[in-house]
Amino acid sequence: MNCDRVHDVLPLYLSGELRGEEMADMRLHLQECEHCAMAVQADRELDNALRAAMLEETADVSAVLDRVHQRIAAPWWKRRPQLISLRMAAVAIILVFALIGLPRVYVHQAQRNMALAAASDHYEDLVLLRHSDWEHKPEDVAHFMQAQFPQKQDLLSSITPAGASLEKVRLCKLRGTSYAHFVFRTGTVETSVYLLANPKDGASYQASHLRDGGHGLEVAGFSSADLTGMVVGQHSSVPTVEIAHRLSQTL
Amino acid sequence: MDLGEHSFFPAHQLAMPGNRASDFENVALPHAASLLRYALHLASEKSRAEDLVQETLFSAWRNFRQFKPGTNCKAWLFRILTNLHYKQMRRSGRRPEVQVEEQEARLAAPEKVSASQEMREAFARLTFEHQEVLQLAVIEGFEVREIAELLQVPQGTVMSRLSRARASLRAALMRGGNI
Repeated sequence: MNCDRVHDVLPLYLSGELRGEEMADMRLHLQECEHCAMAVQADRELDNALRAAMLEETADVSAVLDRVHQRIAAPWWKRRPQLISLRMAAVAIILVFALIGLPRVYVHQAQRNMALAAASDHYEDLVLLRHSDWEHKPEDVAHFMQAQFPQKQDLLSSITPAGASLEKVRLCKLRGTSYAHFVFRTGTVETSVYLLANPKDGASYQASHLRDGGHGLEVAGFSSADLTGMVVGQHSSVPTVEIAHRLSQTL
Repeated sequence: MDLGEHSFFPAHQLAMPGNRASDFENVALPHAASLLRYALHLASEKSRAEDLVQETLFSAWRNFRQFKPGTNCKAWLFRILTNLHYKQMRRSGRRPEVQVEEQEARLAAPEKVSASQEMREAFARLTFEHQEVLQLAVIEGFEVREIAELLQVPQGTVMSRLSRARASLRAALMRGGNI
């Protein structure tokens, strides 16, 4: 190991992540090179001084913990409704009015449930980062596409929203049905496209748009001749209806 | 039961099944102070930082059954907090604020300060990104791999950013006369 390499892996060494042969090489080099040994020591001292200085001013978290305590210690019937719960209630009311007031716009119960499941999955995947079984690398994504959509050669480019790029894809279960969950990114805006995996003839949904499907998200469903899916994104940031309409026309 | 200084709520005070309550108390709540420290870095206002931590802990509590015992709870909480923050930023169309000039002006005033104070002031002069990696690596003790996952950047980026951040901190201290 030379001095340049020591400089490169120094952050790993300081965080205790350097392992095996590289760790042994590092130790050997530090025994032999006074310059690098001093640099490591200087960084350690800097870290210690920074840690001590920042922890000296402890953030007072008691107010937050009081509120958390009140919330989780209260019996469920006394808990203040969460913002998300209120939103969900508002969504339910809107849906009821939509169904009563617009009888011609018939939204199938299964589809509505699926849209809510998609919004929930999007939130869990992109906010809570609950899953780690994503495919990121181009070759893994290509393998995924071949396995799930063998008849659709250019599917990925067809479903990519304008100006966005694919970030990751995984297979998920929405109410027991397998969907491929594609995440596209445009700057900081994330758009999810769910496609029914291994589509079979006969699976069909009507196009619908479920605004505020929970967590400030909106969902637009679509179906084309061969494929069924949903587009999920942050309300007012992602033109879900526009994307869904395009997909229903082009896929 | 020895609650220790970081245990805030005895399990029997919480209206929830014993195991889940005590697990949440012992595993998640001890990280509240760290979460607030990081939230104060992300959000400029104290009230917003506190709301962010509160929402993070509520979210963690709602989803605590999904948490796998033995995995890094602190990293899980930080991921929730970071994602909630950036989600709120996206929703409101705001961008991170870095008030370097204001801090420089404030620091220019001659006054006698301790070494720790000088260190905090030098840290405050760093860029948002440099503060972020130093806070996560040095103060909160996250590994490079975990920081990369949290910030959604490659590990190499975290490593180079850490090296540059340490160099910048050293330079800021020298300008302040500490080194």
